[in-house]
Amino acid sequence: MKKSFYTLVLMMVAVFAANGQYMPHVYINPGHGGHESDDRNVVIYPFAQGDTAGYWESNSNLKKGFALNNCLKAKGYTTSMSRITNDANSDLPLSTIVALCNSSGADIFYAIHSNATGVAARRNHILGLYRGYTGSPVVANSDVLTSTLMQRLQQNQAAVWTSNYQIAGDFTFYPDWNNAGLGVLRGNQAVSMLSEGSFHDYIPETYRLMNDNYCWMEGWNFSLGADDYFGYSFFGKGAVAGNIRDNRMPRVINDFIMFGDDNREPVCNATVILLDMNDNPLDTCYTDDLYNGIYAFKMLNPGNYKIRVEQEHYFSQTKEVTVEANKSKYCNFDLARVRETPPEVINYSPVWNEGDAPLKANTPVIFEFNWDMNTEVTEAAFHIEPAVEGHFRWEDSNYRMVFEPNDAYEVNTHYTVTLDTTAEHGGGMKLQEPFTLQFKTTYRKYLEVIDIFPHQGDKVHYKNATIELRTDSMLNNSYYYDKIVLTDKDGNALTYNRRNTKTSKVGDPFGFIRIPVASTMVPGEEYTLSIVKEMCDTAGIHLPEPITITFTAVDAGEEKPETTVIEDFEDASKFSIVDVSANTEVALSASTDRLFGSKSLQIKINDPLSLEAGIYSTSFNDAIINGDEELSLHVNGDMSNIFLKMHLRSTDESQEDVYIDFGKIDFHGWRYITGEGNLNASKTYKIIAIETDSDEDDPIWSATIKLDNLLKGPKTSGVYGDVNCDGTVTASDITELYNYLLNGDMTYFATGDVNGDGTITSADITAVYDILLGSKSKVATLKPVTEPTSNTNVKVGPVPSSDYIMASANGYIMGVELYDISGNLVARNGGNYMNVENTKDGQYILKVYIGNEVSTHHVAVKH
Amino acid sequence: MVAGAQQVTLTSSTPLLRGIEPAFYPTLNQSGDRLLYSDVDANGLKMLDLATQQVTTISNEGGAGFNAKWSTDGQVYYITSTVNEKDRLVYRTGKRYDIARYTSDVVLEAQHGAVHLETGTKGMAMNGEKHNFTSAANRGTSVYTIGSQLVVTINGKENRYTPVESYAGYLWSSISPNGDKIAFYAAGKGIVVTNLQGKVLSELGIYEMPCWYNNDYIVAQNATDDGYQYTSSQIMLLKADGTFRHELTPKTSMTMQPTAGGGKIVYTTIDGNLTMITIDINE
Repeated sequence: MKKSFYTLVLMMVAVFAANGQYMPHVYINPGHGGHESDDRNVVIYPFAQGDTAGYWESNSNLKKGFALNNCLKAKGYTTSMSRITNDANSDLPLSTIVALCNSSGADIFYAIHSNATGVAARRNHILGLYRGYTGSPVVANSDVLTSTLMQRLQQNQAAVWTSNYQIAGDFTFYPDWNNAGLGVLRGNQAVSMLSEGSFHDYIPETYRLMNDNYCWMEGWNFSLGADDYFGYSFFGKGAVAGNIRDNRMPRVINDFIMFGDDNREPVCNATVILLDMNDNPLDTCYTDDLYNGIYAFKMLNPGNYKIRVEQEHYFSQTKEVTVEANKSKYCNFDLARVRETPPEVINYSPVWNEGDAPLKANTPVIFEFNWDMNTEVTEAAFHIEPAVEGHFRWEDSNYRMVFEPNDAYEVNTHYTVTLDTTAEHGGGMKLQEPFTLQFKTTYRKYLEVIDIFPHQGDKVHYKNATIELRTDSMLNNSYYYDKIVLTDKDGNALTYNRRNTKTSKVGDPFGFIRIPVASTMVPGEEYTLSIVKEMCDTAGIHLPEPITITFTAVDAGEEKPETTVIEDFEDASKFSIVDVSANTEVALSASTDRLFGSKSLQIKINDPLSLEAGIYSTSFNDAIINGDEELSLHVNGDMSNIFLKMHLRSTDESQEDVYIDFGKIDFHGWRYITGEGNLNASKTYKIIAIETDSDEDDPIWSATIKLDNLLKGPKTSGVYGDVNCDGTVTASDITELYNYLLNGDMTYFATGDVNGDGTITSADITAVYDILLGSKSKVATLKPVTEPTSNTNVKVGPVPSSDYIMASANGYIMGVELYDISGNLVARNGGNYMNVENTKDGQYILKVYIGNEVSTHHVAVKH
Repeated sequence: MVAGAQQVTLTSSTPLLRGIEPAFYPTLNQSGDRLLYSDVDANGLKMLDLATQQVTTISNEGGAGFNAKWSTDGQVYYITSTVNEKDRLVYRTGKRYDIARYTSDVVLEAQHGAVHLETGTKGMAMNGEKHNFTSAANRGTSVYTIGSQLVVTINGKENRYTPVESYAGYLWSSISPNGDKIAFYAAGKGIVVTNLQGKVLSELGIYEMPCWYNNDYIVAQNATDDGYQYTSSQIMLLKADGTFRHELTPKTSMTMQPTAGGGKIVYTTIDGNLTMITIDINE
C-alpha cells in the first residue's frame, strides 16, 4: 500500500515534468542553533538552565525542519536544509544562509522560528514576516506564501491561541527599519518568509514544543502551506493530532501564566490507539511525560477512524474522526479521573486547642483533601462562626482549600469552622462526616503606623527626597514598592532609588521602610503619597485603612533676599562639640551633601536617647542678632526626632539666656526652618551654641543631620495666609489684602505675599480663599509604580562607541532611540543598532524597544 | 593576530557614493578602477567608475546584484531572477553586460532551478540545471561551487572535490590572482584555501565572503548575529597560509561584503555606506 502510494506521487512528479512543469525547490532554515547565546533557552521543570535536553528554540525549530523536509520530499518537492545538527558550527551566519538559499535555486524559503516576548508579558500567537512593507513584498508573492502558511498554522487546535495570526512586512513590523531587516530575508531571491510559529516563552507552549509529534504537525502544516501556495492537492494523505487534558483538575505545575484550556492538567503517559470503524487497531502512539498531552497520527489515508485514549488514572474515552487528504484534523480529549473513594480532610490548619496561644487575626484556614475537590460546591459547604467576610484560594490542583478573611478576624474571639457533608470531590462523591475546627484570635488586628514622612501638608525639598513609613512591627519586605506609590499632580508615579532603600531588621525597635526618591520633583507642585491597605508586617497583619498624604515640593535652598548669612558651615574645623550627657558618641564632619557652597556641617550621633550636646564655634561670636530679627537654618533631617535649638545670650547679659527652637527633626531631606522664640526687641544677642536634645518618648538609635546656611533677617514667621498676623487665617486677612490693593493701606505688608510670587495681587486673595476653603488638598488616583525598565536580557555595547552601538535581547528589538542627557531625542533607528559615527562625543541614553516594553541604557560616544 | 611580524597600515580611506545612494554587494574589477554595486536586496546592478565617479545603471532587475562577476576581458556577467506568476516558481536568467556598448544581452534563457556562475582565467560560464552557457570553450582555470562540491576546470578538464565536510554546502569560490590557489567558504567550517587539485592548504576560520586581495592575502567578512539581525560585522585581512589575521575595521563598525581588486579594498556597512581603502602590509 505504502509503496504504491509513493509510486503515485512519483508518477505525478513525472507528469509535471512531461508538461514542462517543475516541482519546486524549498530551502528550509531551522532558526538559531548551537545552544549558544543567540539561541533561546526556556527553563522548564524538570530541566536546569542550559541543559540541552530542555527547551531550546534551536531544538524545536530543527524538529519542525526535519518534519517539513520529510513531508515535502514525500510529496515530490526537492529541498535543502541549512542545518541538520544542533551544534555551534551548524548555526550559520545570516549572509551564509541567504547565499546558500540563492545558490540552491530555491523557489521558496522558510525560516522556522518561534517567538518570545522577552518581557514578563505572555501571549501565544503566530506571526509571519516577509521582507518589505506590508502588502508590498520585496520578492513578489512572499506575502501570499506567508498568508497560506499562517492559515494552516492557525488551524492547530492542540495549542491555545491568545489571538489570531499576524502577517506583516518586516519594514512595517519594525517602523523605520532603515534597510536592515531580518537577516535571512535580506538579499534572499526566493519567495521567502520567516515564521514565528508560537511563543516558546508561554510555558504550556514550551512544553508542547518539547513534543516531537507537536513539532511534526507544524512541519506538516508548513508543507500544506507550500501546497496551497503552489496550488497542489495531489498528495492524498492527512493527519490527526490533539491535546489530552484532565477534564477539570488545574495544572499541578502552575507557576506560570496560562490561558484557556491550558489551565487544566495535561495527561501524561496516555496510550492513544487509532482504530478503524470496526475497532481494529491500526496504530498506537503515546503522550510523553513532559506535561503537554500531545499525540499525533501521521500520513493517514482519508477516511473515518476512531481514536481511543487510555491512561490508568482516567476513564478511557473514544472519539470518531474523519481524516481528509491534505488537511490536519485536531481531536482533543478531556479525560475524567478515576476517583474511587469519598473525599476526606487529610490535613488542616490551624490546629488549635483551648489553652493554646491565640492566633493572628489573619490566620488562614486550610483544608487538604485526599482528592481534587469540586471547588464551587466545597466552598458552599464551608461555614465560619462568627461570620467573617473572606475569600477562597485553591492550591495543589484543587487538593488544598485556603480561606482568608478579607480584612481580619475580630480580636480575642473564638471561631468555629465547619465543612459540611455537601462538600464533594471532582468525581461527585461527598464528604462522609462534617469536619469542624476551632481557634481563638489574639488582641492585635492591624498594623499600627508610628510615624510617616512626609506628613500631611508638609513642604518637602524637591531634590533627593526620602519617604519613610514606621510601624509597630517589622514590615514584610516583599513587593512593598507596589504598595507605596508616590505620584505627581497628574497621577504619574515617581521612581524610587531601590538600591538605597533601607528596611528594618530583626531587633530594631520598630518596623520601617525608608525609600529615597530618584525622581526630582518640581518646586511648587503638589504630590501624593499613597500606601495601600495591604501593606503588612512579617505576620501578614495589614494596615486598617489605606493612607493618602499630600505634600508640596519646595526648594529649601531658595534665596532669601531679606536675610544675611551669619554662618555658612563650610569649615567644619571651626566647630567643636560639648557632650553634656558625656555618654554619647558625637562627631562633627564636613559633608558634600549641601544646599550652598561646597560643604555642610554633619552631626553624627550614636545613641541620641541620652544626648544633650552643644555645638560651639568661635565664629558665632561675630554674629549679633537684633531682638526684632529672626534666625533661620537649613537642616537636612533624618527623621531621628532629635530636637534642635539655638542658645542665645543678650550682649549686655542683662537677662537669662534664651533659646530659639528649630523643632523636632521629624523629616527627611533639606528643610528651611525659621526658629521660634521670644527675643526682646530692644536688645541684641549673640549665639552661644547650637544644641541638640532627644525625645525619650520617641527614641531612635542614631542620628545624622546636616546644617547649612544660618540666616538672620526681619521677622516673617506666622501662620501661612495670616496676613494680619493675628494667629489665624480668617476673612479679616482677605479684608486686609483688599485694603492694600484698593488703598495701599496694609500694616503687615511683609505677610501679604501669600502665594510667594514676589508681589501682592488678587492672586494672594485667591490663595487665602483656598486656605479657608481647604481646596488646596486633593487625593490623587493610586497607580502602580512604573520604574524605568532595565531588562536584564538586553545587552548594549560597546560603551563607549565610535561607530555603532549594538543592542541584543531575548526577543525582537523593534528599534532604538538615542537621547542626550537633557532628554532630547538625538536619533532613532528601527534596527538593533545605532550609527553614532556622526554623533558628538558625550554621554547618552539608549532606549531599546522590545515589543511594548522599553529598556533604558546609559551609553557613551567617543571618537 | 595569530603569528608573524606583519604590520598593516591603513594608507587611505575614501567614502564612496555618500549622499547619493546606499550601496551593497560591491564588486571591484581586477584592476580596481570599476565597481559594481546593488541595492540592499541585490535588486538592480550599477557600475561606478572610480576615476570619474560616473554611475551607470546596468540592470534594474531582481537579484542582478547578488552574484555579479567581472570576466577577465572586462565584461559583467550577472543572473536575474523573477517569480513566474503562473506556476509561482522562480526563474533565473543569465546576462552579460558589455561596458563598451552599455548594453546587456541574455546569454542564458530563463530557467527554473539553480544557475551557477563559473569564473575562469580565460572565460566565464553559467551552469544551470537545464541549460548552460560558456563564453569560451577553454576557460583556462575556472572554479565554482555546487552543493558541497568544488568544481575546478583546468583547460577543459573538470574535477569535483570535497576538500572538507560541509552539510549545508560551499560558497564564494575564487582563484588567487596568480592562479595557483582557490579560496572558498564551507558552511560550518569557514574559509578554506586549497590548491587546484582540492588539497587543503589552510583553513582560515569562520569568516565569510572571502576575496583575494593579492596572491597571499584574502579579505573577508566577520559577522555575528542573534539569529534575526546582525550584532557585529567587520572586515578581516587574512593571510592565505593561515599564519596571520588582522582586523581592518572594528567589530562594531558593521562593515560587510568586502571586495578587492587592483590593490584596493571596498566594503559597505549595514546601512549601505560604501568605503574604499588602501593598505600597506609590511612583512
